[in-house]
Amino acid sequence: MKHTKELHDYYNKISSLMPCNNKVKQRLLLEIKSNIEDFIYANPECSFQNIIEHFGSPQYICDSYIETINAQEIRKK
Amino acid sequence: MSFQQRKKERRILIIKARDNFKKGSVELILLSLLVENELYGYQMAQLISKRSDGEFNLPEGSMYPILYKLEDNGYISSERKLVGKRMTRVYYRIEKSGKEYFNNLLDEYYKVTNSVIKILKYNDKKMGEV
Repeated sequence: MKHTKELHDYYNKISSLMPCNNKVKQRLLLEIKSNIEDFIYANPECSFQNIIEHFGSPQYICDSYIETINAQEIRKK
Repeated sequence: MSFQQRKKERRILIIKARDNFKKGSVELILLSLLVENELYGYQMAQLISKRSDGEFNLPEGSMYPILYKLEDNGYISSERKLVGKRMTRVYYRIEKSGKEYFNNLLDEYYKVTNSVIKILKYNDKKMGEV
């Protein structure tokens, strides 16, 4: 697998930033990992930067999650 | 602030505004794709890019929180499928209540965009009169 070290750090960063329970985190990571494999398969010459551009930075993904949950849910967590 | 800095700041503001326009329509777009077919995340991102001629490039990671919210509300459902020996894909499918929700969203979207266009055209007309 290409970019193993960078991807490992990328997944860890998403996991540490996401303000959700482990079940949601695991599911999100499962989907991102599987789709990154698809992306690399379709774009074998891609750089790690291309992957970030396609999937979003960990901060961007985390911000997107926060935008979808309402204030009440945040207070519950 | 130099001219170059002002130009750069304006560019950043425009990109942020464009990002906000896109974010407001992601839910609608995802549902519109699922009305046609059962799909997994990568396919949805590919279709969005293809159908917008590459103009609507949404970072794929930001789609998932929206899909999870739609699923929590019962509008879509998901199914994990094993692909090959170890890769799992999560396929999403729209439910009956999701189709109704999509139609409602679509109506609201057209109402809002049409009213925005009316306001903007009114301004254009006024400026033309000056």
